[in-house]
Amino acid sequence: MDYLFGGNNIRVLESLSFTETLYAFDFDGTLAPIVADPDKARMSKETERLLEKLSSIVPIAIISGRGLKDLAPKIPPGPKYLIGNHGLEGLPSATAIHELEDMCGRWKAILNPLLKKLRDPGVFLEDKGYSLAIHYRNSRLKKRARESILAVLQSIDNDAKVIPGKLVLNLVPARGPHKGLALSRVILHSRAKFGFYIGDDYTDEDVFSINERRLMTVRVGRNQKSQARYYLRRQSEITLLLQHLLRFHESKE
Amino acid sequence: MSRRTMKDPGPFLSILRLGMQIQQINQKMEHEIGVSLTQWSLLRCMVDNPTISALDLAQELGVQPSTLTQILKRLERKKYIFVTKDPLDARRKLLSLTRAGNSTLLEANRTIAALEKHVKFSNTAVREISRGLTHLL
Repeated sequence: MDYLFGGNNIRVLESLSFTETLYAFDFDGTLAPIVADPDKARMSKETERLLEKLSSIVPIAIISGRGLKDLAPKIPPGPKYLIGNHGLEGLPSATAIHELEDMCGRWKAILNPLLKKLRDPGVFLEDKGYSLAIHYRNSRLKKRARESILAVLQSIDNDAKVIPGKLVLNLVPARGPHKGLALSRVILHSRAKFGFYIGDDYTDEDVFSINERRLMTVRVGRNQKSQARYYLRRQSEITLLLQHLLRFHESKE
Repeated sequence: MSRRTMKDPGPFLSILRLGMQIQQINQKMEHEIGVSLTQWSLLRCMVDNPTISALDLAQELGVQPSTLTQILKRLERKKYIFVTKDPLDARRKLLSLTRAGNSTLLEANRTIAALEKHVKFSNTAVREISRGLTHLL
C-alpha cells in the first residue's frame, strides 16, 4: 500500500479527472468519524460542504452498511447514488427484497434473548431492515464480547453470513450482494469509464479485492493485509482528499 | 511480371509510398501539435485507463508490447505520461497521463476532428487497404 498523498500518487489521483470517473465513499469511518453512538455519527461541516460541491460536478456514490432510512438524513443533497445495507438497498433497478425482512426478523428473535444472557451493557443489536449489526464498541471487555457474540451467532442458520467490522459484527444474507457487487453495478449504471472507492473497514475489502484495473482503491488507515492500493493516514484527511478532487475537476479544460 | 509505368507503379510501390506518406503525416503532426498519430492513439487509450500497465495497453490497442516500448519512452520524455509502481506489486509499472499530456491530447483531438472534415476517403476504403495489407504479414 502507498500513502495517497505521497510521491507521484497525487498525480495518479489527478489523472482520474481526465476521464469520466465515479467516486464512491463509505460513510462511517470514512466520510464521518467513528463515534461511540452510531446515531450521533456526522460528517464535519467542511466535509459536507466539499462533498455537496463535488457532487455538482462529478457522479458520487455513498455505499454504506447502514440502512438507507438511517443513512439518507446524514448525507447532503447531491450524491447520485445512496446504497445501504452493504449493497442490499438502493441499487438501480433493484426490487424490494421482502423476504430479507422476514429473515432478519427471524434472526433477531433468536439473537435477542441470547445476547441478553451475555449481560454486557456495551453490546447491542441494531436492526437495519435487511441486515443486523451487533455492536460491542462500548463493551469494557471487547475481546471477550466478540468471542461471546461469535458463539451466539452459531445459532443462526446458513442463510446468514457474518461480516466483521470495526468493533461490530454484521449479519447479512449469505446470497445477497455485497459492497463490491454494488459498486460494479453503480459504475455500470452511471456509464463511468473509471471508478474510485474509499473505505475503512473489513466490509470494504469486498471492493478492494475486486479484480478490476479500472478502479482506484483507498483505505482509511494503513493495513498491510488490505487489498487496497493506497491509504490515508487518518479519517480527518478526507477533507484534503475532497479538496484535491475539487481542485482537479474545477481546473479541467 | 507485367510492365509497370510511372502512372501505374504496382501494389508494392504503392504500399511503400503510403507508408512514407503516413510517416510524413506523423512527423508533421508531431511538429505542429506535439504528438504523432501513433502517440495520439496511445494517449487516447490511456486517458480512459489511468494506471494501466504496458501489457494491458498493448492488449487494448491490439499490438505486441514491444511495439510500444519506444513510443512510451518518448511520451515519458515529453512529460505527457508518467510511470509509477503498482503499490500491490512493485514489479508492475503503471502508466498515467500528466496534466500536460491531457492538454496535448485535447488539442490533438480538436485538430484531428477539424482535419477529418477534409479527408476524401471513407473508412471502408481504409479498411479494405488494411485487409489487403494484413494478407502480406
